[in-house]
Amino acid sequence: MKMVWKILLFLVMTAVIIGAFVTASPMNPAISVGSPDAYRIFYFHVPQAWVASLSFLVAMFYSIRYLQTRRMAFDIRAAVANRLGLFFAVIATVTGSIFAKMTWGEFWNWSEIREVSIFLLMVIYGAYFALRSAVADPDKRASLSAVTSILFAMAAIFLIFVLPRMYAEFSQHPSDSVVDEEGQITMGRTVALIFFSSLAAFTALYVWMYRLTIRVDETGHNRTPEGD
Amino acid sequence: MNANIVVMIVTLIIWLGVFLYLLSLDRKVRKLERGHEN
Repeated sequence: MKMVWKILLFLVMTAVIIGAFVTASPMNPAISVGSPDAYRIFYFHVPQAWVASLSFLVAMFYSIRYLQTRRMAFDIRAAVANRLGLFFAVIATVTGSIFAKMTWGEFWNWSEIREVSIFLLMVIYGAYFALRSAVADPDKRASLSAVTSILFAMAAIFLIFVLPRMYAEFSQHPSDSVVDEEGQITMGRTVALIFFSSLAAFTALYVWMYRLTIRVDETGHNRTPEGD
Repeated sequence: MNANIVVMIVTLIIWLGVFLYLLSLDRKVRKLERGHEN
C-alpha cells in the first residue's frame, strides 16, 4: 500500500471516529431501546463484522486456488485471511458485548441468535488453527486446511447471513439498521456518510493488514533452512 | 468533561497507536525484504 493511501486511511478513520462521537446518535427511537449513545458503536461494530465475513470469503477463494494449483503461496494467503477474519470477529464480538450490556443489560445472552452464531463461528475457526498446528507435514497441512477452510467459509455464510434471518424472533439486533426488507438504505444522510466511510476505512485497513501479514509470513518462510 | 468526548479521545489514541504500529511493522518488513534481495 502506497504512503498516500496510508495517509488517506488515517485521515478518513480519524474523521469517522470524530464524526461518530460529535454528531447525533444513529439510534432510531421508534425501534430501539437503551442509551442513545450506545448506538454510536454501530459505526465500528458493523464494519468489523463485515471485514471478518470478507476475510473468510478471501480465505475460501485462496483455499480453492491452492487445491487447483498446489502452490504454497495460496495456502499462506488463506491462513492469513482466516487469522485476520478471526481477529476481526473477536473485535466485533467485544464491541457487540459492550453494546449488549448498555442496551439489554447483559454482556452475553445465549438466546440471542447472532451472539450464538458468532460464538459457533469462533469455535470452528479455532478448530481450523488447531488443525493447522497439529499437522507437521506442510503439504498435508495445506490440503487439509484448504478443505476445512472452504467448508468453514460456507458455514460462516450460513451462520452470519442465513441463520439469524431464519430465527429472527430470537434476535434483539435492529433488523433494518442498514437496509430495509426492500434493500433501501434506512439511514439519514449524515449517518450514512459516517457509516459508509467507516466501512471503506475498515476495508482499507484490512487490505493493509492482510498484505503486511502475508509479507511477514513469506519473509519468515524464506528465512527457514527448509523453506517451510 | 462530556463522556462522549472522553471515549472519542481514547478511541483516537488507540487508532493512532494501531496506525503507528502498522507503519513501523511495514518499515521493518521492507528492511528484511531488502536484506533478502541483497
